[in-house]
Amino acid sequence: MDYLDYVQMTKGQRFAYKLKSFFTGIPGAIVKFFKAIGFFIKKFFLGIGHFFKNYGTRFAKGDIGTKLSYVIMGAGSIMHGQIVKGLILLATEVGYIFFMIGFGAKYIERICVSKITTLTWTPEVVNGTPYIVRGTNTVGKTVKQVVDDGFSQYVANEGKYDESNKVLLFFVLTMIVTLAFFIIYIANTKTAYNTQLLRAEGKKPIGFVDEMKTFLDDRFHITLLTLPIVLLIVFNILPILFTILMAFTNYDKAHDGQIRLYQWVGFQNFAEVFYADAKKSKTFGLVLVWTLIWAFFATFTNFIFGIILALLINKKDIKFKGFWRTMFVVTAAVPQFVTLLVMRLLLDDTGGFNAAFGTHMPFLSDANWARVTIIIVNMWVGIPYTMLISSGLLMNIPEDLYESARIDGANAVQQFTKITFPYIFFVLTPYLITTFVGNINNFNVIYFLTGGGPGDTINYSNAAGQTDLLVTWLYKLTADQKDYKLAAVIGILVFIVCAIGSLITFNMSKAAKNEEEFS
Amino acid sequence: MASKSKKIIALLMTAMMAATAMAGCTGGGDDEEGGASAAPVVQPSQQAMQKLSLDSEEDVTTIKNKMAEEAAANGGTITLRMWCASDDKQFETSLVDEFKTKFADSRYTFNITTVVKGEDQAGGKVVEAPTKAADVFSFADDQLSDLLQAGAIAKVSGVYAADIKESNSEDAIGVSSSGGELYAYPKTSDNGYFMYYDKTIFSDDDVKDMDTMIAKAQAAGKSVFFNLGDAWYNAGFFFTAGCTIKYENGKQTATFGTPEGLSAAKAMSHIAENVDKGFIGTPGTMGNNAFVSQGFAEGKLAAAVIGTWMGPDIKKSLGKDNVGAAKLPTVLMDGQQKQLDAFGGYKLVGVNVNSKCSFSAQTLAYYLTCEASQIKRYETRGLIPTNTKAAANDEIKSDPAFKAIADQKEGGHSHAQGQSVGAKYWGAGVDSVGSQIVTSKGTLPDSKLEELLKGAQQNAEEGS
Repeated sequence: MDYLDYVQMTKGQRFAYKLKSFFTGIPGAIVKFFKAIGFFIKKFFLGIGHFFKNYGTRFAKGDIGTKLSYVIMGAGSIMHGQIVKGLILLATEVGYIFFMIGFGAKYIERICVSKITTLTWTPEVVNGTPYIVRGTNTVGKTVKQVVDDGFSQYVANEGKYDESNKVLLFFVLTMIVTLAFFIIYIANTKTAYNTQLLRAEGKKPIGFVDEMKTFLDDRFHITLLTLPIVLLIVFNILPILFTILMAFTNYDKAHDGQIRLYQWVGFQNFAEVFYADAKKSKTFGLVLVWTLIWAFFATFTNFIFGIILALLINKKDIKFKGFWRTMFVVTAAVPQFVTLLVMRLLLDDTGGFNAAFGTHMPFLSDANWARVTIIIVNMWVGIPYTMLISSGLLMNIPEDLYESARIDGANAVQQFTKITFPYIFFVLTPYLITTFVGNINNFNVIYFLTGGGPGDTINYSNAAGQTDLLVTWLYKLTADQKDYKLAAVIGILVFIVCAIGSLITFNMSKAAKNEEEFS
Repeated sequence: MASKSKKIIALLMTAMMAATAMAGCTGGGDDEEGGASAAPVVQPSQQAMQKLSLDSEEDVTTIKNKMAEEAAANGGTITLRMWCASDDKQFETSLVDEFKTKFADSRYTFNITTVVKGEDQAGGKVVEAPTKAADVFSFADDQLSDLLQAGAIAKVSGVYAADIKESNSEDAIGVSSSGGELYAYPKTSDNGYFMYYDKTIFSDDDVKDMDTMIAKAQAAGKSVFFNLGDAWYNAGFFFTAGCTIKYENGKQTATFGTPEGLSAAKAMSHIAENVDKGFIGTPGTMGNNAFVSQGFAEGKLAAAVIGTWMGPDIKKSLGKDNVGAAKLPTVLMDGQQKQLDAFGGYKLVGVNVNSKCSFSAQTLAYYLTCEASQIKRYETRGLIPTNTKAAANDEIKSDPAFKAIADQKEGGHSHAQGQSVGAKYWGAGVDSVGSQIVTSKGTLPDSKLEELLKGAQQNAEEGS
């Protein structure tokens, strides 16, 4: 189809065409996504190649000062006339060395050399006095000694001991500091080489005070963003890395990291979740499938019924529009968890509904009933929001579109399928995607309604129930079961599911750039 | 480029953000090990002190002297933290005040704080962070093995142990000990369940078997409540059927996928056939305690399987004279009436081995669990003593709950939790077996029951 054909189409046909091309574009978008990933990886490795090339070139072409600064940071700067900067760089190197000796080295040693795997816990009894050995390692046995003087038993001498959490956390911290140091180190070689070039041109390198001034001018963004980035690393990146590493250990109730240290187990936890442990992998599969089914229905039921409701209210001959809208918004004004808890009391086996009608309907206690109940209750909670958003959109659709459609003889259904729905659908695609991802992680509805139950011992293990989502299961694993290793694995998998899903769909929605058509 | 004032504002904003973020971090730079610094010093432990009694003036002086020694090492103050359940806080604080008066001395001052931490979770919290936990804490007996494994609980003081062993029931000493050593002070003996019933509906003979009870309750338009959807309560059926439920060296055994397990499940099914016809098998989403309390208050329940903690509520609803309590009834299992078993636990008081004032902590624990304190605890809180002399008190002996617990224990129909189940038992889905039976009103076919039971056994024995 060429451009001429396209402009000859009616507006409705254009939408149909766009809608068609949106869906036919899905495979292409997926391919594009993976191509982009491939391209990124290629670029990354090329970048590393360039990095080493430049690193080597600078060294080869450098004068004595530049060469020296590869070992003694700041040497180049000092020799090229940037005294203060050079001293600061030197201080950084010295500081880093002290940091590693006093703090970092022992954590790297614990993780990489003694591998925390060699640390085990053995209760010992010496002369009838229980010793608590809190980890033996290459540094030596460290103990807590308990004595009894006839009056009472108490800790007489508490030795220092390893705690897995601390070791792992500080290891991650050390690695981050090391990375930061490495970046400064590279910058140091660059600045040494650059000043060398400047001097070769006969120019004087920039002085310290002037350089500081650039931080308030050209490089103001650095001044502004350093602190937020440091905070981001400390409060976000560090815990995330720490949790990811946890998935590769056997951190659980039996290996709590204090009394019995936990150890590296490689990919064993992932293997168990996928195939090695039959019941666990079955549980994971069932929970994942239900999570996706739930997310699909929760998203689209709300979307479709919300639009229908908005259409109804938006109809010309409906009176008191504001009143109806307010009525529905009131349900959204009640805090979600209150609504959910009330619903739960109402739908309980012995709850309000069954009591009022003298029935015994297992709304929440039979798996299939519970699944349907959850989706329906979620509609009650979610439809008002979609209604609000889409009634705003409906009021924005230019009236002349409908007018020309009517002149062409389109009936109400055609107007909806050719104008209203495509418009809303295209504008709301990003909203749909975020809602879908949000529903994958929709903790409230499940937790407050069924708490994940009812359970089923035949197919489910590890405290998962038949209406558990991955995220509520994760909560149970951490809060009740203290099975942190499995929880970390589930957390990573949830992230992967959400990330891949939303990246692909977002890419696609951008690929079909149709919104301008309506302006 | 932005103007200078804008830049300054932006900088201030980031600085403020940083300041707020840092405000969350309190100092606390306790630091890190520097290798093998702690060489163990083995002190010869002084042998067999004489036994000290709180009734003798002379002994109290000895205790005070020892406490003064401890206080001197801690700046003249004896600082102790105590954990107890929230319902008990007021009462336990009053005991602490008595303790302070009894051992008041010019050489030291007391600084004893009472913090709310339920018996169900105290042990777990101590294990999590022994050095930060309370000096004296109340806990349920099944947590003792975890506490011992963590090396967090101190042995009962040599000067009090003999008296504790002498004056408490043998059973209570059994759950407080490990390898012949006493590790905790028994406090109450009622951490189990039995049948509370309305005397105006049931006679003493009626409460002997479940089927009669349900029929009578239905005739009166009320119900019998037994939470089959809770692994703690439905364990009784499995014990009765002869399943092995054992927790040893961190290993759980629960032989549910056996003919015995099936008998237990079928006995539950038999009762569950009467759901909505004189029987209620699950509290729904309300929780046992709220359901029982409300059920009796509204006149919906005629009887309920629950423990002493609900006694005061039930008495309020039915009137003191109408409350009856009995051991669990018999149930129809394999064609004959069999006595239902139950979990019968204890609440104990433990002393943290990390306590800075360890002997004072021991003395406080001893005081909290002595005969007089146990009687007072019964009078104010309705909790049944473990002390045999306290239990000989007339009023306690005539309490129906006391008799129900004693009857349940007879013939080995009461099981200690600590030796039966570990923590992972509760996540194994044994409760869901019961709740599915209740939801189906006892119509599940044997093959399905067998599958459910096998799954539960697998989860309990192999789960993480």
